[in-house]
Order: sequence, then C-alpha cells, then structure tokens
Amino acid sequence: MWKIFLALTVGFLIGFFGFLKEKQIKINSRLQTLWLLLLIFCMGVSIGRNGEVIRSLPVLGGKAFLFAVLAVIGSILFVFVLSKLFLEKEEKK
Amino acid sequence: MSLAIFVILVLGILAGIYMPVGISSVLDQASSMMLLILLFSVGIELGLNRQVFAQVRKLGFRILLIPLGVILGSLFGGAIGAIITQMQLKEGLAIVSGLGWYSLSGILLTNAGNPIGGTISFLSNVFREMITFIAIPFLVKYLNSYSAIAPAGATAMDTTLGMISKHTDGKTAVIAFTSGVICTLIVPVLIPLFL
Repeated sequence: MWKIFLALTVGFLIGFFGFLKEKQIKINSRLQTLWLLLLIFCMGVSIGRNGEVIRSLPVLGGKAFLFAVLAVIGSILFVFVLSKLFLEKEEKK
Repeated sequence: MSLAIFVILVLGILAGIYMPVGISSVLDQASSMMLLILLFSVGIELGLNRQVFAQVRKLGFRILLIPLGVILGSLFGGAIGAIITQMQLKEGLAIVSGLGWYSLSGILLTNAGNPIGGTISFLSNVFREMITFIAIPFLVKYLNSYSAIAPAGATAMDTTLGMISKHTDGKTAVIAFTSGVICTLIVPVLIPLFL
C-alpha cells in the first residue's frame, strides 16, 4: 500500500512544483491512457492464468456475476442519491 | 472507451489462458509495475491542478458520504442477491463485503470454513472490478461523476483510480482515492461481521 502512496505523492510533487513543460504535460496525459490499457491487459492476464478462477467459472461464475452486478447497482444507486441530496446542491448555487 | 476496455480485458484473459506460463508470469508481475506508473502519472495530473484540494476541502466531512453509500449500496445488493439465490443472508452480505478487494474477501471466507462462498466472493469481486472499468464512462455521462466512484469500492485507491481520473476531474479523483482508502480499511472489519 505504501508504494501506491509513494507513486501518487512523487507524481503530485512533480506536477505541483511545475517541473514539467507544457509539452511534457501533454505527453503525460497521453501516456496515461496507454498505462491504463496496459494495466487492464495485464490484469486480464493475471485472471486468465489463474487456473482456479477459470476452473470454478462454469460452476460459480453465474452467482458471482449476479452478486457483482447487484453490488455495483446498489452502490451506484446509494452514491447517486446521496450526492444529489448532499453534494451537488451547493455546486449549482 | 468502454468497448476498447472490454476488448482489451477479454484479450488479456484469453492471453492469460493460452500463452506460455513464462510470459504470463512476467505480465502478471508487470501489472503491479504498470499500476505504479499509472498512479505516478495520475499524481502529476493532480499536482498540476492547484485548486483540487481547496475544492475537496469545501466538501468537509460530507466526503464520507461516498464510501458510506458504497458500503450500504453493496450490502443492499448483497441482500437482494441472497434472496434471489436463496443463500443465507449473511453469506450474501459477506460475499459483497469485499467491495472489490478480491484477494482478501476470498481468503477470509475460505478460512472461515466456507470455500464455496470464498470462491464466489473472489470471483464476484474480480467481476466487480471489471464491470467498474467498463461502467465508469457511462456513469459519468448519464448520472454524475460521484456515481462513477461507486462501483470501484476499495479499488478506487489503486486499479480503477486511473480510469476515474481519466473520465472525471481532479476533484473527483481525490474524492475517489479517499473513498477507496476508507473502503480498503473497512473491508477487513466488515467481512468478519458476516462470517
């Protein structure tokens, strides 16, 4: 977990103290998409190479997927309503 | 973007299944490096936006509403899942209590003597992370940027933070990170409540 904080903080300081030129900022923004897609690919590989996951998918995958979808919908619903009630009002004023 | 992500995810999974173990193990290890590089890049972008923290500070304690909504919403979904699948209520709640942190949720349930629940929880939280990647652009477009943090749960502090940051703004990214940290701290407390 400390590595996550470190990576974010070092990046933040570099951005905050203006070490980067306009052009480098643009490159960073583009590279971000590349890192993101590479990360997603590598995460796919991690799942695919995990034999236990692939073996249990046909039996338990359906239930697992149902719980994932319901948890996601529930979270979206609650956060959306709470943000409409308590967070967004002021922004519009 | 969602389609591209879905395709890349599927390609990754297929590659993981069929490629030689040597290569896939290198890529597996590369993913944590990728994550750190991505977060470094997100950090730079946050640093450039000097108003970010002032904007977030204005929300004050209300920022806690986001992880609260994530937790309550997930449990609500888990309860409905338990009803549909005719599982015990507490098992359903335990499955969703991982909030996307699949490694921990799977192990905790398995160690508590429920290997099937553990596997469902593990898979379910893996799915949650995948769904999050695909859902974020839609949520930003059709609901609001706060709701894009919701599916991410605990992963909002690491794997899905880049995706959130890319599709929203600096303020939302900081809120997402905070919510992700809180969720991550809560998961080890939440799951044992339902074992």
